[in-house]
Amino acid sequence: MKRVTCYLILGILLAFLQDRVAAKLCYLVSQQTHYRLFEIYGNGVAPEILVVGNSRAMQSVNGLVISNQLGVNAYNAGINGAPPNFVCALAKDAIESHPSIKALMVEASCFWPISASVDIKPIANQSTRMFDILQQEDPLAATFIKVSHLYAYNSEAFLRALFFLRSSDQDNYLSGIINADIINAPFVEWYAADVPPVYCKLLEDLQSFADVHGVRLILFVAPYHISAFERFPDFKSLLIRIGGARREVWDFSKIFLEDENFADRLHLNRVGARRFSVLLTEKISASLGFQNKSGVNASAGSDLGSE
Amino acid sequence: MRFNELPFFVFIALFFILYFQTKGRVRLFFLLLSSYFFYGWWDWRFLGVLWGSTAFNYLITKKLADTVEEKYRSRWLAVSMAGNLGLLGYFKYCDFFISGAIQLLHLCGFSASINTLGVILPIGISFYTFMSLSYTFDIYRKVIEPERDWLKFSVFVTYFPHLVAGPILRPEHFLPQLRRDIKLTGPALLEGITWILLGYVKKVVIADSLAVYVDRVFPNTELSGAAGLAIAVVFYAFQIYGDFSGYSDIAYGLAKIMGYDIGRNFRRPYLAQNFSDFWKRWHISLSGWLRDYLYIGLGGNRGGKWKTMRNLLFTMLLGGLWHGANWTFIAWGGLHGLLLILQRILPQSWFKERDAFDVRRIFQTFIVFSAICLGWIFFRANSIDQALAFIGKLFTASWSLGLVQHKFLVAKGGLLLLGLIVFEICSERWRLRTVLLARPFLICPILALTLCLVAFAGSFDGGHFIYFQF
Repeated sequence: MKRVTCYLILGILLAFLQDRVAAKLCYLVSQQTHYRLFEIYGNGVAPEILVVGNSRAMQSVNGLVISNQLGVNAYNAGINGAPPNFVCALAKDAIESHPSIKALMVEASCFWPISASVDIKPIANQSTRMFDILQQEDPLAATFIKVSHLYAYNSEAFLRALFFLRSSDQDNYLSGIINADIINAPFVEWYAADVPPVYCKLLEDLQSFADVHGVRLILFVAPYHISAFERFPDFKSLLIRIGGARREVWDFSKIFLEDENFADRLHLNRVGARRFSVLLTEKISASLGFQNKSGVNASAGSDLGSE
Repeated sequence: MRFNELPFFVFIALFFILYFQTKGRVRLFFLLLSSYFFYGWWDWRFLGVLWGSTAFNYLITKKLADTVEEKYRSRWLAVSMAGNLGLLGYFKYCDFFISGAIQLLHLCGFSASINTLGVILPIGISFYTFMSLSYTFDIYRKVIEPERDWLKFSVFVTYFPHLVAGPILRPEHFLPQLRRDIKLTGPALLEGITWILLGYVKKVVIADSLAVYVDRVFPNTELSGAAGLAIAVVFYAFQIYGDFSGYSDIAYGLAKIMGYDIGRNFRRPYLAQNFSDFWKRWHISLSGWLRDYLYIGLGGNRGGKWKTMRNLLFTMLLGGLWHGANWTFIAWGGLHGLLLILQRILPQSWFKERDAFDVRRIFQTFIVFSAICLGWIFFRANSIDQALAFIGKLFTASWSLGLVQHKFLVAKGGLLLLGLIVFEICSERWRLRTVLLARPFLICPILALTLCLVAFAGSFDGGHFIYFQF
């Protein structure tokens, strides 16, 4: 009995040792990957224009197109299912650790009231803001990552990151084209008419933070398929609410009418993302003073949304 | 209470501390109370059903054993069967038969507006009812003497490690163990902990990780190509194996530490070389029950070729129905019945059990596994139509790997499966118990590795055990 008990205690000690070593290895791997979540927290990128938001930001903006046309580094840090508290924390962390950022482009639809979440365990130990979010949303996980460092890497985000050890994740767009089945499928969740005050507060804080760091914050709305507007009881009031008194909102929501640009009702496809990025570049060039170096003119430029 | 939720860990720690402080009848009484607490944690209202079933079977079997005349013995047996099957029928099949009757009336052109009862299924009812039935049958056949001690009989029925998802205990195996006093020993602790760890890895790491992919693909078959669907079926095959055998391993390990042997419920089923071999390895306690009390009761293989086939099909259909009140389970049971019949019709050399190093064994195992996977599609689907649509797409859609979604989940699942398959092949050759008892220090790396594996790849969302619903 005593011998077995000793073995068990030794086994637990060995587990702690293994946990620390394996977690360190995972951290080193995360530093090597080009997955956007880890790139923001590593030293892999030094963007001048940073795009943040949820999957709509991720699928709509082609950072490479903007970079090529403006000759500045534009980086898309949009993450699937990102809720506003995560987007704001990520943006603040990025601004703090990358002084190169001059403009922060926030795709506004992450502020629509809809349930969403991102697995932030792998970066929670690297950012106090992220750790606070984790503690609020999953206190047990927050406690457990202190006990087991390896548990922080028990996440889909880390698994995804392994696919980008040798290549960038900036060229990862949807390829399909919307069809009648997708258009007619019922929506799972409906948006409320208003932006919750807590989200407005988050945006206010982000605006003040950006101002302090000399970063221009731009809110924009990426294109929606025309059928998506059934989802909003009052889209205009959402924009007014999110814009507030002192923020620009670039509304591109209705600039594309053709199905060929969309993968589904909410997301552009690869072709649409490229076209939209050309338009966005023109707008950035005109409004923010970045020089357009490619000389490419977008034919649909006259159809730009109102500010 | 589930084995993978936090309250269970608190419960089991307190239980073991107190369990080994007690002796004799006090220990049995404590075990009974703990079992009721464990069961009542889910829904205390169903404690009455459990207690009622125990009391009913205790009294009826006592009467049965005390009756000498065969005519009256048969009557007591009929009362017991009516009571047990009536209980199971009400809770498990009532709504199924009502909705079936409504559909039949609609087909005949009548309009019926009977509401189903919305009966809640008490967890574990299929398991403890089958245990009680086997106890009654054994007394009727005079295979065992009845347990006259109410306490021991209650512990036999309610013993918490197996109560909600088996294995289905046999009275002749378990009741004698309750009659002796037990001390905690080093080897029992070592063996118990190893099985518990193995069970948690199977459930929390393997089954729950595979479930993430399976649960995304099965309801949205239109979004996947054939390759994605095939991966989902294979993942489901291992998910249900990890889930159920994981539970059984934890139960086995807990019982080992307490000093009892409840028997293994799984023995590497996917390494089976033919269909009857599969049923000797999968859910052993149920397949043994069906064989001893149903198949043999129907005449087994004593009535010639056709009767044997009829008995096989009937047994497997009822085995399917035991899993739940749904046509999909009946189809699953029927398919297994047909596979067992096929094995009897086709040349025996095709299904011969071969040496570990025979290449034909790999081919044979692959064929058996593929057929079993086909059955799992029915088992997992919500309706026969959904299962047929799934199978149809499997054979008609593109096999392009580019259409496989959630590749990172596939990669994770693939790696975990590879690990599990290597482990299963090794344990087919070397017995885990023998290896461990000869080298007890191995528990250190096993424990360390398991804890790290659970931390790195385990799922902690408190996922249900699939077999709880049966």
